[in-house]
Order: sequence, then structure tokens, then C-alpha cells
Amino acid sequence: MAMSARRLKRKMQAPKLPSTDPQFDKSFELLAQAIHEIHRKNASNLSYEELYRNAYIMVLQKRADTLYNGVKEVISDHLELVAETEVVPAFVKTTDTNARMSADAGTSFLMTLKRVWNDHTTSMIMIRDILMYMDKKHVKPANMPLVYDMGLELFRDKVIRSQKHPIQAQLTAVLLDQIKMERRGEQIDRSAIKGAVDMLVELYDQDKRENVYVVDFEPHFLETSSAFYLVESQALLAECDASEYMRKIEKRMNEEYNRTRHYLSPVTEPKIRNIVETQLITNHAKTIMEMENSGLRPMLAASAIEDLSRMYKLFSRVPEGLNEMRTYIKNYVLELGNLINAKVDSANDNTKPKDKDGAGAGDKPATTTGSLYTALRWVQDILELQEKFNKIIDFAVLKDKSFQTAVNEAFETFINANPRSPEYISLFIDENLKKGLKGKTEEEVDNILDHTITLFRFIREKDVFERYYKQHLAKRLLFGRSVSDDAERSMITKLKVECGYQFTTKLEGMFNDIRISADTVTAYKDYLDASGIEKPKIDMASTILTSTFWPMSASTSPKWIMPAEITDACQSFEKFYYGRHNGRRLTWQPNMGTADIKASFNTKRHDLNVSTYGMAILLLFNEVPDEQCLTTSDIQAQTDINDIDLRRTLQSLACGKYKILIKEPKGKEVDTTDKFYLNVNFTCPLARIKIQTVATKVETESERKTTHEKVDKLRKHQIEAAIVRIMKDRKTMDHNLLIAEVVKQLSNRFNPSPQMIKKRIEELIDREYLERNAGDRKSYNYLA
Amino acid sequence: MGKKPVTNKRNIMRLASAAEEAPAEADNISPVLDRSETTLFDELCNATREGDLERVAYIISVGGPVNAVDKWQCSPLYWACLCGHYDVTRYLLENGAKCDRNTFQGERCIYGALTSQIRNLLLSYKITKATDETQPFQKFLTELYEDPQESDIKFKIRIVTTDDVHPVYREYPVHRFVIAARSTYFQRNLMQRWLNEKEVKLQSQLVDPESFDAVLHYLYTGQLADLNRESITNLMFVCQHLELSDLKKKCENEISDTKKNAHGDTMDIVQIRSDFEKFVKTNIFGATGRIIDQDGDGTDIRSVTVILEGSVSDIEPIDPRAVHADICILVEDLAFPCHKALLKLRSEYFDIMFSGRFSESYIEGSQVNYPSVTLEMPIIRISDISAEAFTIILEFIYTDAAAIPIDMAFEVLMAADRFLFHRLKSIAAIIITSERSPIMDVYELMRTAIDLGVDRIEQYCTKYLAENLDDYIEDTEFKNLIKESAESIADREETDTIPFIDELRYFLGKKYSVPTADLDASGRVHVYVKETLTAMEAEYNDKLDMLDGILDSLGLEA
Repeated sequence: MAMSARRLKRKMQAPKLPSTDPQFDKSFELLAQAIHEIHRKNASNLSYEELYRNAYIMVLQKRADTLYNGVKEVISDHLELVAETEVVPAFVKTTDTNARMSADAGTSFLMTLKRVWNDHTTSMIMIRDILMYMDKKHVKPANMPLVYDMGLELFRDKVIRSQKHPIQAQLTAVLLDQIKMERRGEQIDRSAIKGAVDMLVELYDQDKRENVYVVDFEPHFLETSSAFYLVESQALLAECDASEYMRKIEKRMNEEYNRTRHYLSPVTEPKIRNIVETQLITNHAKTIMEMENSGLRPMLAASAIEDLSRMYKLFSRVPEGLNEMRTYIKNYVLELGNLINAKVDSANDNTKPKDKDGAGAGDKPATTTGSLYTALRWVQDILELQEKFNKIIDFAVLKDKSFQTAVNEAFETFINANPRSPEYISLFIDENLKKGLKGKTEEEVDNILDHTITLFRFIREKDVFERYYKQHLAKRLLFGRSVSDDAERSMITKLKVECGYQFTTKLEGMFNDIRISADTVTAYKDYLDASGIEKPKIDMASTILTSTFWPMSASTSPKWIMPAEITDACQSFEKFYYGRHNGRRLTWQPNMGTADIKASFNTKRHDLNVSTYGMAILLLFNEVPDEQCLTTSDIQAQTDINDIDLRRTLQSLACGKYKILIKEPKGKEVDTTDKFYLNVNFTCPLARIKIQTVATKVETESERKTTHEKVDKLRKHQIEAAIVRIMKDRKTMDHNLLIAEVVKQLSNRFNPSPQMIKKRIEELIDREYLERNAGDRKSYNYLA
Repeated sequence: MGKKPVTNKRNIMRLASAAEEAPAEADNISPVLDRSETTLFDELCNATREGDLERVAYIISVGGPVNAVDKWQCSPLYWACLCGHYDVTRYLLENGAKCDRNTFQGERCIYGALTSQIRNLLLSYKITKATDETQPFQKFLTELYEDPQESDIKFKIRIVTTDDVHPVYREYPVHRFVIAARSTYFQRNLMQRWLNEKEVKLQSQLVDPESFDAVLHYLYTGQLADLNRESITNLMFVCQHLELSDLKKKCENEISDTKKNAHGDTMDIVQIRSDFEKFVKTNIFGATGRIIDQDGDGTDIRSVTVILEGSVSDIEPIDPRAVHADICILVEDLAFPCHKALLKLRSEYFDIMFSGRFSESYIEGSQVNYPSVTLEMPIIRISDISAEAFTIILEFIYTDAAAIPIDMAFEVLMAADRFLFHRLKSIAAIIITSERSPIMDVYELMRTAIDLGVDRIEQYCTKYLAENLDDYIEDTEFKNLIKESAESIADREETDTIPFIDELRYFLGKKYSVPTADLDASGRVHVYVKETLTAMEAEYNDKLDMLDGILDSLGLEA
């Protein structure tokens, strides 16, 4: 082999051949011919080695630009030919009037386009293979489109956006037509559309920096969609009710979503969604909600969870949608709440005049039970309302916090609109703790109380509630009417969770008193047995209450003339008690006690359980001969019981279920001149009879007034305490800031008004706790 | 020219040259290494100090000792860390350089690392053990194993099932040439009892399926698959049967020693390379025939007749069937038997050629007539390349390394560029630039370098021109280079620099050891040191004046 000779020759060989070399034309001719063959699908006859070599040599000869442009021209010519001979003949003829036929023609047009596109990309891959060296060594460094991309651009410009043929318009029209048909519910060939869309996505528009699909097709699609849904929404609104409408548009939305998924581009998804949402929801949200017989109100009324949930989902898609829905629901709740309040008012309207009449003459049982019923009904209604909306919130709006808040706000508003709400709620609890055993299991009661607690949360004047609760609790404890200690305690625990330790200390104190009293009574009995002192004639059990815990004003004993027997017993007990507890003072509360007495009637002896006052009155009749009577004023004179209590007791003895006394004249009202006889012929199958005191469950106006006065008084103290606490800490403080702070500190008990606070501040200045700042009249200094 | 920011390159060079002074006389004091290794090691150290990644890669690929130390106990890794060459450091680590924290060498590297980036790399390397992406050869072997396209023999082993009527076989499609190159057992059997078989059933009593999989894994990638102890015992039995003593030793190590040999992988690759190299040199080149007759032409060569004497160097002729070739490539008057699977994986060019899109995939019924036997396989001719250059390319394709004689370097450079073998191109460029003076006309070399985008050679030529400025400054070619360089910057304005001139000035500065700090605005050594100008500095200023003169005559300013 003559290797060395050859090597020498090559060593000197320049990589650059003369540019006028006829080789060049030959090389290019060969390549152009090859590209024709590729277009004719005859590539399997082409030698890659030869083509690659020729392209390589041309690049080495620095003729890359010529090669590039030459190839571009060859491909360009080919594409123009393809556009004219293959794509244009496949156009849908406007003479195809039949919809089905024109649809089929559209599909076949898309198929043709897809075939042309596939052929082109396949060809371009092979052309790229041949020109790989040019791509890597020349095109890429020069930042020009690579051969394959150049091929795509040519396809875009020569076929899709052809200047000569309206291919693009045709394509857009066919695509939109197909989509329109599918929207009308007809079957179309999705794969054909997908092929066309994929092609448009792959083509890129450098100027707009987006693919051709987005630039050319998408705007048309969105525009027609928008028009379509404008008409669609009108038609649907005209013929469907709200529920039907929502079902239909939900289906539409799914369709559009699937459309973008299956054959359009995912980038269209948010845009078309926006259009559909605007056209179908945003523009008609109000109409849908306010549709008569099927809008939001009937849905809420019927608790139509499915529809509500659909509405929530649909409205959550558009801005403001949920806001409107929320406001609507809130107003609806308010409306229902006000209806409930209105029922109370109308019930009270009936009682009010009578209250005024009987202001001096005591209350009438009928009205009081009526208003108790009203109170319980009120709470019950609210609980039902709340349950209904809890269900709606849980299932229809996916526990959306903002909906919960809106509904809560509505509840708070209307509950506080009823000035008696604290009393009613406390009464409701009282009722359940008292009579709970009647047909309700413990869990049920517990459940009801849990719900009631949520109502309690809405009350602004928690201190008023506390006051009522104390009163009711006191009665339950003293008259032994509680269902169980456990139930009471669990209720207090619940309140504690809501309002904290401070709120419930007194309530817990009340419980303690009851417990200790039991011990004390036992101790007292032991004491009597042990000491050998003469025992009082009656068997007495005292309950010792710590005055600050309990609601009654304990400082003075209500005036009454104690029967002699009782006096002995009391003195005996006092002696025992003072012996054990130095420095304590006992005040007897006859209005809180009960007594068991034995009564002999003509036919039978009965054990009567009556209130302490009742006992005193009945004892009077021991001294009165049969057939003789006592007038109210007689009794008043002999017992000195205050007017209201006296009337109440007499009512319970003479007008209740068991008529121990006979009143003359008959009637429910007790007058000062009424006469009372002992009903000697009293009969009853029961040996033991409990005479219920006619107790007003619901406060009368006058009682309410006193209660509020008491509450106000308490509030004054609390406000002052709060002011002093704050000022002690800050020393100097601006008026407004101080007020804000006080409101904040007291907010979990009640909402003090600024005027109230201002008054307290002035009071404190008078009492020299505070002084006005000399320099700044608007702020205060704390005086230690 | 001027693709990289000039200042950056200067910085790197300066760092390298700063370190260069020290080890200049390290030559004779490396008693462990023999003479040839010593020079290789010194070159490696120099390359790491200069941050010349291509050269480092080349030296390691020809077996440069990565973990040796010089007379200051410095390893190449230490030099790379000290001089702040991140890429080189990473390359060394990936190719088996040791950096254990608790050794003197390891701590020293971490302590000496110039940047925290390098320090973090050193610290993280032990944990991450990143797969080696710069080693395309290993990747290619794994691909060949995992996706055995164009396989030409299939082994079958029966899987133990209870169903005797319908036996289930596990199939292993493999490449004859790979297993022949890697194992004498297979080489022998493929030539004898399996010579014409397409399918071979192995007895499951002798070879269990899992072990055979591990054997193939080893033959293709040189690595021992992750196996449990029992499987390894099975595998050792199979090794006995298949005469695979190396793999058996590996298994024994695995069982006896829980600590794995950290640098086993590199050694395995070296082993595979040497097996493939042997296969290329004895089998392929041994069966490469000189064409004495050819029937047909162009894309339709129906047959060639060859003789096997002295075709490539002095290699002994061999039975052409032992190549197990499935394609015959004609270059000039030689016929090379090759393997499609390997060509396709190693080269995009051949991948497309056999992709099924062009005629090369559809050649049928063509025959190669050897003196002893006629083999049927597709025949392809590749034109415009010399047989010698193609021989080197083949060697590179099969072994990922190539020894290029200096007089072939330029042609290999061109060929590597044409067939897009970047690594081979780099190797050729290293060979060319290792010469003291250009192997050919410096302008022609420079132009080729620019055309082919080989920065290394371009720099080399520029440096050469700068150092011999007097000899070239008057040449028209030289002026043309300046003009073209100025034109290479689109919309050049007067204040823009000319990359070529910048490079020349830089190399002049290096030649005359002028520190940049002493230069004034015009690039001259500053006036205030004028009185103390050394002869060298004066000469430097003169050269710059000469350059400016040329620029003036060309109507350029820079």
C-alpha cells in the first residue's frame, strides 16, 4: 500500500474547495432530487451515506447558506403544490346543504389535512437526517431555525396560512362547525379534530411567541363559544327552573372541560371555562337565586341539599358568586329568625295588657304558662333552624367557613334582637334539666343542651343570662327538681368551657352549699341526739346558702310571722350552727322552703307537701272552726307575708289542681276581700300530695325591670373594676383607648355602651380614683 | 474566536501558570512508576494544574495513574483542588480519584480546596457517588445490555415449573461479538457448536436463569450484579462451567470481603476496553480484507471479493466468521466487518443510517467472499475518507480510546468532525496541539480550527503566531485573519475589540512575562516604569507597536 504517499498528499489538502467548483451544483442537484424522492415516499432507495456526504461537503465548502435556502425553496415549492392539489380539492363544498353531509365533508377535509401534515413531518425528519451536519455546524451556531423547524414554518406559511388559498379560514370554519355539532348533541369524529389541533399546536408563531393554535384558532373558538352560551343561557332560563338550569349548565361545563381534554389544547381550558362561567353563572346568578318556586329560597326552605350543593359548586367558580349566595342565605336566616321573634312578640302582646292590669294584683297563671310555652317554643324553633342550617352548611357548602360565619352572624343578630333571649335560653335549659327524664334519655338531653350552648354563644349579654341561670338553678336545687347532679354539673362544665372559670365559680358554689348543707343537717341531728336537748317538735332540714353565690337578696329576711313551732326549731338550729361557725349570720328564707304537713280531712288523712308560706297559712286554719272562713286580709294580718307571695300561695292552695281551700267568690284572681274555707271534704286517691306553688316561670315586666336594675348595678361595679384594673396598670390613658380596652375586657360578659363607661369614669373621678390629665383633657391619670 | 469572555480565560490560565513553576523538576523522582508512566503522570499533573479537562480526560482514558503522587506527595486531585478547577476535580472523582476524609491525602484536598464549591463537591462525593455521565462508554455498555437491539443469538434456559407439557423458557437475546470478545468459552463455542445457531438452549441444571443473567451483566458491563449470598454461590458454580475465572474471583471477594472495592468500576471498564481492543485488533482488523473484486456499485453492491493478507498493518489473518459481523463497510480498498448494534449506539450518524428510513437498512442478499468462506451480510461503501482514518475511528467506536499517530491527527480531526465524534475530535486536537510547532501551514490549521469550531487549536495557532510574530506579521493571510476576526463581530463599532488581536496581545504578554498591573491604557508597559524597562518589556512594547501598525494599515482600531 502506498500509504505514505497518500498521507503526504492529504496533509496538504485544504478543507476548503474552490467555491466555483461545479461539484457544488451537482451536490445540490443530488440533494434536491433526494428531497423529491422523499416527498414521493421513495426514501428507502436513497443512500444516506451519499446524501450526508454531499451535504457535509457543501457545508465544508461554506455553501451552507445556499444549501439551506435551496432546500427551503424545494420544500416550499412542494408544499405549495400539495396545498393546491390535495388540500384545496378537499374543501367542503358550500353546496352541501345537508348538515350531515357537510359534517362528513368536514371530517374528510380534516383527515386530508392530517395526512398531508403527517407526510410532511415524516419527510422533514428524513431531510433533517440528511442535513444533520449542517444543522449542527452551521444552522445552530447561526441561531437560525433548525431544518425541521424550518419545515414546520414553511408548512405554516405555505399551507395553513397560505396566501393563495383560504385554507386557514376553511380549517377554522370546519373545526367550529364540528364543535357546534357536538354541542348540539351530535356524534362527531373527535380524532379528526384532535389531529388538526395537534398540528396547529405544533406549529409556532415566532412573532406572537405562541403556537398557531393559540394565535389563529383559539380566538375564533372563544368568540363563537361566547355567542353560543349567550343564546343558550337565555333559552335555558326561559324553559328551566333553577335546579334544572344548574344541572344543565353543570353538564355543559363538563362537556367543555372534556372537550379541552380530548381534542382541544389544555391551554384553552381556563379561557373557555371563564366564558362559560361568565355567560351561564355570573350573568345570571341573581336570576337563578331569585327564581320563584325554585330559587335559593325554596331550596333552603326544603333543605334541598343536592341543589344547594350544586349551586355552591357552580357559584364558587365565579368571583362574587359565593358572596352573593352567602348574603342571600344570611338575609334568609335573619328573616326566619325575625319571624320566630315576631311570634314571641305577638304572644307577649296578648299578655302585656294583663300584666299592666295585674301589676298590683299579681300574675295570672294562664298567661305565665303561656309565656313559658312561648319561651320554650322560641328556643326550640331556633334550635330547629340552627340544625337545618348546620346540615346545609355541612353537606351543601362543604363546611365553608365563610358560610358558617355568615349564618352565625344572622343568628346572633336576631337572637339579640329579642331582649328576653338570655331568660328564654336559661328557661329552656331549666326545662330540660328539670323535666328531662320525661321520655328523653340522658344522651338526648345532653345533645339538646349542647345545641343550646351554641345559642348561648350568640348572646351578647352573658351576665344577664348568668343571672337568670342562677335563679333557675337555685330553684332547681332548693326544690330538688334537678334531673341529676351529673346533668347539672355537665351543663356547668359546658358553660365553663364557653365563658371560663370566673363565670361559673358562683354556680359551683351553689352546688357546694347544697352538699355541705346535707352534712350540716346530719351533724345537727347527731347534735340533737347527743346533747339530749329537747328536740323541736318538727323535723327540720335547713339548707345553708352562701349569700354571695345565690341570687336572692339575702341581707334581710323577708318579713313574716313565723309560726311558733317553726320558731323553736329555728332557734334550736341557730344555736347549733352559731356554736359551730363563729361570726356567721343566718337569715331565714321562708319563700324558698317547703314543708310536709299531715292534714285530716273528713274522709281521709293526707300528707301535704306545701311551701313554707303555704304551711303558715294552713296552720292558721287549725285555729279556725269548720265552716268559718278567713279573708285574704285576715291571713295577711296574721302571717304578714308580702302581698305577691301571699296571693301566689293562696292561688296554689285554692285554685290549683288540689283545692285544699275553697275560695269565695270563685275565680283565678285573689282579692283582698276574698274568703277562704278549709275544704274539709277534700278527697284524692293519693296519700301524698304535692302542692305546686304557682310560680311564674317567666318574669313579669316588673320583675324583669328589677332584674335589669340588679344587672345594671352589677355592671356598674364590673365596669368600675375594669377601669381601675386597666388604669392601675397603665397609669395614664387616652379616653378612647380606655373605653376600647374596657369594652374588650368585658365583651365576654356583656357589651357596655360608651356612655355607661363614661359615667363610671366620671364617678371614679369624683371618688378620686382617677383625675383628668392637666395637659390633655382627653386622657386620665390613675391616682394611687 | 471570542466565544468565551477573554478575561475569564486569562484568569484560569494565570492560575494554572502560577502553579506551573513549582513541579517543573518533578521528572526523575517517582521511583514507583516506570519511565512511560512517569511522563504520563507528569502530563496528568500539568493538565490538572492548568484545568485542561480534555487533556486530563485523554490521559486518564489511556491509563494515566489517577491516584499516584508526585515528590511532594501531591495527587492530581490535590492539584486540581488547589488550583480551583471544579470540572477537573469532578472528572477525577468520577474516574476513581480517592478522597477519603480520614486519610492524609483526603484531608489535604479538602483543606486545600480553592473554593467552597470544590470543597462541597469533595465532601458530597463520598455520599452521592454520582453516576458517571462523562463516561459515555459505560453508559453505552449498559444500554447495549439492557436493550439488546440487533442481537444475533438467543439463549434459552428453561424455568423450573411443574408443567412438563408446556415448558417455559427464559430468553436472553445477546450479541455474539460481545460475549466472544469477553469470554474464551463463548468465543470457542460460538465458532464450533453454535456457529450457525440462532437459538441455543442451555441446561438449567448447569446454568440457572438468575446466574446467567448475572453472567451477561458482567460480560456487558464488567460489574457484579447485586445478588444475595446464595445466588453468588450459584453464580460461582456457573462461572466454573463457563470458565469465567475473573467473575469467580469477584464473587469470592464479594463473599469474603464485605467492604467493596471502591475503584472496582474503573478497573472493570479498563478490562472491558482491553477486551474490546483485543477483539478489534485481532478479530475485526484480522478479518478486514483488501478488495480485489466488486460486483455492483453505489447503493447496490451485490458482492465483494477480498483477500486477507496485510490489509491493516501486520495483523495475522483470522477466520472472518470469528468476527460475527452483521455489516461490511467498504472504505477505499478495504472491507471492514462491523456490528450494527455497536455502530448505532455509538454514533448518531450510523443510528440514522440503520434507522429504516434510508436504503442502507434494506440491503439484502449481498455477499462478502473471503478466500476461505463466503458470508452474507449488507455491504456499504463510505467515500471520501482514508482507510487509515477509518481504522482509527473504528478503534475509537469499539474502545472509546484511540492512539492517533501525529501524521494522522489532522485527518482524524476532519473525520471525527464529519461523523460527529466529539471526544475523538478532542483527542485529535490534543495530539495536534501537543506539537511544538504546527504540523502544517499555520493559516490552514487556524482556518480549519475556526471552521470546525475547535477552540483549542485556534488558541494554539494564535499563541504560535504571537510567539513568532516577526515571521508572519507581513503576510497577507495574517492581515486577512485580523480582518475576518473584526468582521466576526456583527455591527462592530470603533470601541469594540477584535478578539484575535486581544488574544495575540495576551500571548505576547505571557511570552514576555509582563504583569497586567504595569500596563497603561493603551496596553503598553506604563511610562512610570519606563526608566526601568527591561529588554523583554521593551520588546513587548515594540511588538504591540507592530500590531498597531498593521491595524492602522487595515483602517481598524482596537
